[in-house]
Amino acid sequence: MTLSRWARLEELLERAGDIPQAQRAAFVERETGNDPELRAELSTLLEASPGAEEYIGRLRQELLGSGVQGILRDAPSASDAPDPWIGRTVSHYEIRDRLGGGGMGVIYRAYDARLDRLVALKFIAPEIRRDSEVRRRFLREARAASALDHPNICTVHEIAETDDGRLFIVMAAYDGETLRARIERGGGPMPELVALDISEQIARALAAAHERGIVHRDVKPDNVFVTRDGIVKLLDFGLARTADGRMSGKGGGGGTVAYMSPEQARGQPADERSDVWSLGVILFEMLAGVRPFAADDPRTAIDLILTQEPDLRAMRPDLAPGIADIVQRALTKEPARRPAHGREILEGLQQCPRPHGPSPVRRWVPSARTLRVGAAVLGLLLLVTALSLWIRPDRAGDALASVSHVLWVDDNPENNTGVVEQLKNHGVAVTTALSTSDALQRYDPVVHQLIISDMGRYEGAGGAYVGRAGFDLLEGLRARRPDVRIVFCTSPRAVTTYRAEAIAAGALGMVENCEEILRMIGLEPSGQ
Amino acid sequence: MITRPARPAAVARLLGDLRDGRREALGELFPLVYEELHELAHRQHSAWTGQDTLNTTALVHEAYLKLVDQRRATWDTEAHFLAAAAQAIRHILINYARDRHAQKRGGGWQRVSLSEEVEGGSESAAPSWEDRVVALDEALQRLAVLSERQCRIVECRFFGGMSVQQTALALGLSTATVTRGWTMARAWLRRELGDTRSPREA
Repeated sequence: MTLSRWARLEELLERAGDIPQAQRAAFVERETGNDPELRAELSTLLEASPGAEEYIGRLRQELLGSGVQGILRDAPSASDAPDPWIGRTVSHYEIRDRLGGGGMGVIYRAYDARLDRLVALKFIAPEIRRDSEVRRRFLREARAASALDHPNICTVHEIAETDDGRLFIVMAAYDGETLRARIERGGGPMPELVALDISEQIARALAAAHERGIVHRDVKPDNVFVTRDGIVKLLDFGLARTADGRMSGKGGGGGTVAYMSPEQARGQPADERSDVWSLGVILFEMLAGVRPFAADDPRTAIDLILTQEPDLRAMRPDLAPGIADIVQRALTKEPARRPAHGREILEGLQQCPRPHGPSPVRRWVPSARTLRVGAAVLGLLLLVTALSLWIRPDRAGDALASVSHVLWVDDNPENNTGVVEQLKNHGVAVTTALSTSDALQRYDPVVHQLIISDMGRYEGAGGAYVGRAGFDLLEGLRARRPDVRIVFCTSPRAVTTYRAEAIAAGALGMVENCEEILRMIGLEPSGQ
Repeated sequence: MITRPARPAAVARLLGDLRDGRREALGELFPLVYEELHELAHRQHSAWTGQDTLNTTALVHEAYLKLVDQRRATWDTEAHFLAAAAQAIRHILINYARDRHAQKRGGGWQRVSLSEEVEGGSESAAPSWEDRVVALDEALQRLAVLSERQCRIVECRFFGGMSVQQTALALGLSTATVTRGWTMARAWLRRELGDTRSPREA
């Protein structure tokens, strides 16, 4: 039966209800004319109608009357909420479960039967298949973007389609959560060190893409995945252009609009500078605990984007200098005056002095002061947030101000002679160790206030390379002194790979330039 | 899975999306509501000593109070929430019924509860509760093919116990459309499910 026939039946049934019983047969005869199928449908429905209300009421009572909580208690697990895709096989991918809860839209974990591995699947809006020109453009862009090979960009394995022509992207599967989920889990401002770390990794991804002339256009916390090891993976490169239609149309949720640049909000084309803006919004949200342009509906959000000048400094007076400047520069309304490339933001973030003191990643849990945001007027929000921040204890403290003795662990001490020399010139004693066991032997919890270590090194009698030696060291040291303070100074690659994990494990910081450590302990590096 | 503390924030965001007209958000809202219902039922286990004293509507209402900030709630947030809960309840019922159905048919050992023994072989007599739930779900799946809208209306009205007005708000329809669809869907379901009892004459 076609849709219009169904609507016709619906209408006839309603009209028949007003007609006296005696005249119904004539009504059916007249209205269904020479359509016996329609007549049969209408007649049987009319027959079923008089007692239907009572029947459905009774059925409801019998099937639902005793309540569902007994059933719920018996149900196996809360996490396997049913989903039509789960359990299906598309192409050679067996869809297992949803990734990242409800926050990620339609991303599923699936088993790749051909290559015996787990992957993530994302289905593309079904409209794409209707218009071949849109589809061609989408595929062209998605393929260009999938060529991006960067540790902070989600690897795209392939773009495939279901039997009925629905496109989907096959991506590497990571264990972790979206930045959106992480922000919501935190419920308030994020520790500066964590926010810097995450935004720096996003900036790395953008810088790499911008260098190849690829613009993301839809950078938002839902598209930023943070793995369990703290590595940021930017998702959906090259898909955003197809999302443009969604953004401007009715389907655009407030969540998407909130990260749009002013030029996007005006419907103008987006370029690298729009990505810079969106990163600025994310950084603001992480540091302030509220979105800079928070509104209940997209229209108001766009108004705010075009007119408001949110002031991060007023909300977080405790921030290290520099970071608020970067946010402000990224949130410059006029694209021409905004940093034009991810690289510029990355450099700015790298120059930001890291706050002292232990990173409170592990302690960053929802507190009683959790900010309830989103609906209130922005001005009021700013006030509330500012107040709650004023009463926040400054956990960063001045942990490293009085370091006088350092234990430095590196299998290749020549790397650091310049910095060690500077430390000594400032009256800081340095004990050096070549390996983890060497360091644990030399470590004196009373004497050494700070440990500086590389991450990977050649160790042991056989001289095998241990990529995570720094973590082993931290564990050994912590057994001796639970609040041991350690900074890793290591290769740029190891910094990218391990920084978030190290900070989550309680390291004070992770730097690729050892001179930064001098700044951390309050010394000014001198030229070498 | 979104963990418990983060759920109200996620629910608030999705309800906001729904208000903005992003209807797909309903699909994302539904697992959250499902999990909350599940947890509530589990917590009540000890307190309610196995008796289903609290009915479904009360359970949904409790989940609503827990997940939605009442100071910010509006009529349509409530309607959207209830629509997601209605879907959740349909799935809860059908999964449970199918599981029990499979267990009964499955070979090997199985536990037979006292009440079932007392009732006698339910297979031979009137269709069991499980069979009836499965039959209803199958009918609704057929209905969804014929009219997605009517299927959604049945979900809201039948499983969610929602009023015509709430259903209209949740689905973005006029109350007249909901009434018309509901009237036909009731008759259609009765015919499909083969109710043979004589109708009460109006």
